[in-house]
Amino acid sequence: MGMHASLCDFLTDIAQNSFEADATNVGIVIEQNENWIIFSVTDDGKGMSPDQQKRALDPFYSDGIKHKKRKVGLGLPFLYQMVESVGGEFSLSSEVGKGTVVYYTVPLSHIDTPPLGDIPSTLSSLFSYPSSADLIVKRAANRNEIREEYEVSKSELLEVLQEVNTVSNIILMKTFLQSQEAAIEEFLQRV
Amino acid sequence: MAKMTLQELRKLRDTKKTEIQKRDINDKDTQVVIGMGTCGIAAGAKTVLDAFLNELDEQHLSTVSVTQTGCMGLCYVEPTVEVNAPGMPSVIYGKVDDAVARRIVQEHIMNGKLVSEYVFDKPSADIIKDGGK
Repeated sequence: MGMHASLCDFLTDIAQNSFEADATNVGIVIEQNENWIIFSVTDDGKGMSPDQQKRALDPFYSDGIKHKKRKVGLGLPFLYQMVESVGGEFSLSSEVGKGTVVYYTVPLSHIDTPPLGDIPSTLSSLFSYPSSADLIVKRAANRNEIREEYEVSKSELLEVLQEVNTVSNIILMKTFLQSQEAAIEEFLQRV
Repeated sequence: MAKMTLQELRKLRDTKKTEIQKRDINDKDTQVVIGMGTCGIAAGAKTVLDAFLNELDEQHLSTVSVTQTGCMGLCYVEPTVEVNAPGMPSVIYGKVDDAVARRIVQEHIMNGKLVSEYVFDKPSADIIKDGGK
């Protein structure tokens, strides 16, 4: 991914894999402490065999299902490369028929760490992604052993808004998420 | 700023809904689909998505549906956007940025005129059935 990719861009890309893996439930965790941001994307989709998992980090591997003649799959390789380059931790665990967990950490202070990006806009677009899967987001910040957090799911947003893909409702979701993020920001400055 | 509750979100939604009903316009049949595969994201699709949302909102076209899809096989002209508007052919635009997104809203969606320089017709031949013929 280019120079301008944010951590949120990587997250969008990986979460999309889960939606495309026929998951019923997708979970995203974004948690930060003084020095690190920890991300995980968990799904109960179709999963990958041990062999597929190894090859998933190879940019010239694709399962050939989505685009029959194409021989590239760049989402996970880009993420892996970025995490490696900043000295973060990366793990991919998956089981066929059970689902997949992508977990990675990024040090906030490394010079090559991409900027975090716009969380409210990223999450509202993920909530509006056309998928029947529920998406549960857990966001937290820890500092001096105190914790500020929020949790929001697509199912509860759907219950309130009825539909999540019209302009006005996407903007409402963004407003809602902005107020949650403002509380995290305020916490990080206060503590 | 205090954290908004779901209850407050519901109230805000009701207010918005009344406003929309008062204006008595319905653009529900118009659909904007943004390519958000790895290629799209890397080329700036999220900026484009935000530009569409902001421009549509500013133009009071708040019932247009804005959705996302994966790679359309046109990685070389990302960010790509498909627009389906009543009375207009279904069109895929390529190399869309913030400014082009706003033009698509104003010219294509509001005035029924294609933004011709950016039209890329239909998905790449190796992605769609029968080679796009």
